[in-house]
Amino acid sequence: MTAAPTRDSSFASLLAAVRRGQTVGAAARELAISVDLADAMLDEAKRLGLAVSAREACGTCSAPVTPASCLGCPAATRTDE
Amino acid sequence: MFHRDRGVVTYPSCDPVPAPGELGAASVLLIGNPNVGKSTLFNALTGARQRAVNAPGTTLEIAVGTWHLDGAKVGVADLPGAFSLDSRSLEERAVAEALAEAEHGTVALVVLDATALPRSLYLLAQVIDSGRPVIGVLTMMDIARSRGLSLDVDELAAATGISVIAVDPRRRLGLDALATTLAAALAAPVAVPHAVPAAVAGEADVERWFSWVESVTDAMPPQTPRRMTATDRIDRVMLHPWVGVPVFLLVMWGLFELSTTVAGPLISAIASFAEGPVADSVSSGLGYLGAGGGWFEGLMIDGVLTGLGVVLSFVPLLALVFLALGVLDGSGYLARAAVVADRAMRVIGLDGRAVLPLMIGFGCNVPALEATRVLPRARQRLVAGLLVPYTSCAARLPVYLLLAAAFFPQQAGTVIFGLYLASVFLVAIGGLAFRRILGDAAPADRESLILVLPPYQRPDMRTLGHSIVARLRGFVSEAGKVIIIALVAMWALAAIPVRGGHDPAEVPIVDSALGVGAEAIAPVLAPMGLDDWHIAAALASGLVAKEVAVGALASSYAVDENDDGAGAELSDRLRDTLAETSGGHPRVAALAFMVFALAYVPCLATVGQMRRSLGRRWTTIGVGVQLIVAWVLGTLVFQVGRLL
Repeated sequence: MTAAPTRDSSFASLLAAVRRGQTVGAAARELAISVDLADAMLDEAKRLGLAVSAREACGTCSAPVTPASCLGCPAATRTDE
Repeated sequence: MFHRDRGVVTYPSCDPVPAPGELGAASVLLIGNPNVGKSTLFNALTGARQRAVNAPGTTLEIAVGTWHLDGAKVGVADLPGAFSLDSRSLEERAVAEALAEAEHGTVALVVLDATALPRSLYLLAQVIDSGRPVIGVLTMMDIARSRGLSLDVDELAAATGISVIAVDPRRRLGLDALATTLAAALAAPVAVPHAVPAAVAGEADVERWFSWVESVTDAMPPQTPRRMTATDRIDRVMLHPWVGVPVFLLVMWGLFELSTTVAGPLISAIASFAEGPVADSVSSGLGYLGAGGGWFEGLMIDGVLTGLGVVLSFVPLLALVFLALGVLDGSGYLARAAVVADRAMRVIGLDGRAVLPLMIGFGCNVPALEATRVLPRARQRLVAGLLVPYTSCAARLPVYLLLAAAFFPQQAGTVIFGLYLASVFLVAIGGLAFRRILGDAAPADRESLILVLPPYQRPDMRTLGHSIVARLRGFVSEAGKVIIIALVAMWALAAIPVRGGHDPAEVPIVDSALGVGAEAIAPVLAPMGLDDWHIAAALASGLVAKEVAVGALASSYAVDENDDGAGAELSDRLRDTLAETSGGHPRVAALAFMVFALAYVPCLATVGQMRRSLGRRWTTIGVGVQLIVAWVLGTLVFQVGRLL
């Protein structure tokens, strides 16, 4: 079984850095972890619903397909329109 | 049909597709992230000896095959690619359940991508936690080397505490070493302390697994540090509190200017075109058909055509705002603006993205309501949508200008600026009130939505163009219907004679249903010092559009607002009226009038858009609250002001 963490969690620190507006690269540099690790952490955070990619957020829906996060939005232009 | 034979799975190659549940008989489970070479390894191990079966508990088809290992046949299952075992997707559930249901002695071969090791290690951590015997199979070593990544298999094995074999399944390199290691693992089954629960992992598990991944990667040779990108350099400036906020305000000012200065002439041009050449043509056409003059022409010209003109006049404004928002979003700036504004908006229970629609609202409430869609949560969209009408749109400016010039000629600018400040204050108070009533629209900081910022890039203009056209079509077809119907209803009220024996559509407002109605509601305005039918008719007409209120005042006083000196004459009439209705406090009553104009229902176009964005129930509540708030504030201003 993998051991319990023995130091402050980089996962929580990374989320805090991104919450402050850091990009993934900048946050990884600040925490002295690899960008690959930071990417993996943020992907998992997105899967857990703790974070959302700005591209996947509703935005102005310039994406060709209405993102899933827009589906509940009454103002969203439905793709079947 | 599968057969157990000396601890391994065997089955005839001509069997039909096995039924679900038979996967549990496989002795080797191939596990890995998607696209790590897992299936290539599976094909290299099993060749053509493969069958499709359903993954446990799902209809997901996965391949099982036979690996001839030291003369024995070993059943191998190629499980779906997964990033995690927390059962959030069909693939993850299949892998988690295959591990949980695997028989004693089953070995997990976890394929590790050397080019994306942390991601693979995260899955490995969870498989190790399952208690199954685990062997790491390192793939993509050639690609990792070509990228300058250096990985030592022995160091990785030492850091992870499991056997790790580097393989290249395409060239069949490392398969013998893998066979030897696997045979040893199968010969010495390890007790399983617990099975992987097919449940969603908690944050504490995730932190523990990532801490383990970090400890493994720390033990490996350091990789070349990533250099600062252009996005990082720009963000150092754009997200700095002392620079980011002024830049953000500048961008917001630009949006405000766009929805007023730039779009204004376009709106006027379309309105003039509808009221001029188009109206003349329709009038001529109706005359030619023998339907000219009378109420039908009034209905067509002043009702339907005016409504259509109002709807179409919004099209360039909306197109410009959608284009600007799309460019800001596509370039990656919108996400930065949200981060900069986040703290201020959290005070009123919203997150940073809500600042955009609220700022646009100072130009026009209609596109601002449309812009509430930038908010990811339904409750945030609802709260922002209910607050937008309190932002003082440009259409309210003519009302402020008329009254400020008439009653505060020396301080008109200050009064108007004060009204804009009052608008900001109303939004803040409204936000706090909604926060108290509805709870936080944005989640608490610890659980707040974290926006992963994208790199800056050039927006895809073709996609943006398609999006703008689709959304304009939506506005014209949905909000447009409501606007036209409402304007026709207002026309009908002003055209129907109630007294005086006038012909329909040729009735003075005072004798029309609108005028009589205004007389009836005028006493309601008495606490604001505005008990007069001209004022009531103007405010009722202002429901159509705020700028209509000025025209309605002019026509109710039988003053042509376009004549020279008519503005001055209208001001005189207004001063006389308010002096009478306010009991000698006309300036305070004028202030109450302006505050009421600021806070009550912006226009029918906004109501139409609210109906589209928020639904009928919340639109009704929102409009009701606006009328009550406007009346209470107007009354407060007048009642307190006259005492000062």
